[in-house]
Amino acid sequence: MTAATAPAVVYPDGEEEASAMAAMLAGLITANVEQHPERWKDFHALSGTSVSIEVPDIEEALTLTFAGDDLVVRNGRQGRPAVSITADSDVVMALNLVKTGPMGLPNYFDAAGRDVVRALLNRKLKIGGMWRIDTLNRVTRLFSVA
Amino acid sequence: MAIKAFSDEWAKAYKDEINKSAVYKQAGAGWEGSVGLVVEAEPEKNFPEDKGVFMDLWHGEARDIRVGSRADAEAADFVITGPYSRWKQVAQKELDSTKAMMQGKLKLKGDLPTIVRYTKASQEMTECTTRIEVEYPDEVAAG
Repeated sequence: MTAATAPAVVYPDGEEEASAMAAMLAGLITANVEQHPERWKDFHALSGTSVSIEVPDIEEALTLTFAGDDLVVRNGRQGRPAVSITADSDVVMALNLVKTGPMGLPNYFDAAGRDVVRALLNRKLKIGGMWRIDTLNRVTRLFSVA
Repeated sequence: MAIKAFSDEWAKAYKDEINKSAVYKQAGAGWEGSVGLVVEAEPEKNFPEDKGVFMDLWHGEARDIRVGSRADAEAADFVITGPYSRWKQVAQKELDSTKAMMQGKLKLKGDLPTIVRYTKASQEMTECTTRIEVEYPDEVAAG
């Protein structure tokens, strides 16, 4: 079976109901996988995993579920996500700038990485399920535009 | 003296502000491509027709900025669309453009990873608009 060039985005509640943020973050992941096909490995490894993202300053939340070649997008926090991220919109955007460093690990030592660490220490970024390091690293790589 | 919003004079002043910005020069260093801003009409705000702002941006420099039609802006590599009053809010720093896109208040067309990579550059471009003294059509006294 040949892998699809980009993940298919599935909106169980209807695409017209999806928030702009949900469409934007889903679009970011699908574009990243399309432009970096090696990231399919991360995408497939997360199959069955859900990640929630809550953005208080714009009062939006979404849950992404990885399902084979599909990315299922729902508004709000749904079910019991393996990783939950809570941060204002500027920090969510900063997360996307974390580069992948040696051995495929996120680089928290350059300026973009330090911004994220600072946000964690200042509690501007809260991550539930941080002990699931492998899942978190894969999600970070899928979001990374750097 | 205030410049009329979205006029040719405004486009020139905006280009000059961007090219004066050391922050933009650094943040937009790798950027290649044109950006179009579609400013949708709001007749009740004295902005009766859609306008387009076409920006030719290249490696931290604004090579050209011109005001034209909606179609001119839509021909750009990246297109951001919103009603006049939203753009006014962005230009007056009442609304963050990235946040506005996440809220669907501004619509983005173009390669998302590239736009996200240059968030800081786009924020500085907004800063540049605030340095221009602008006369907005809805603030012009009737008659």
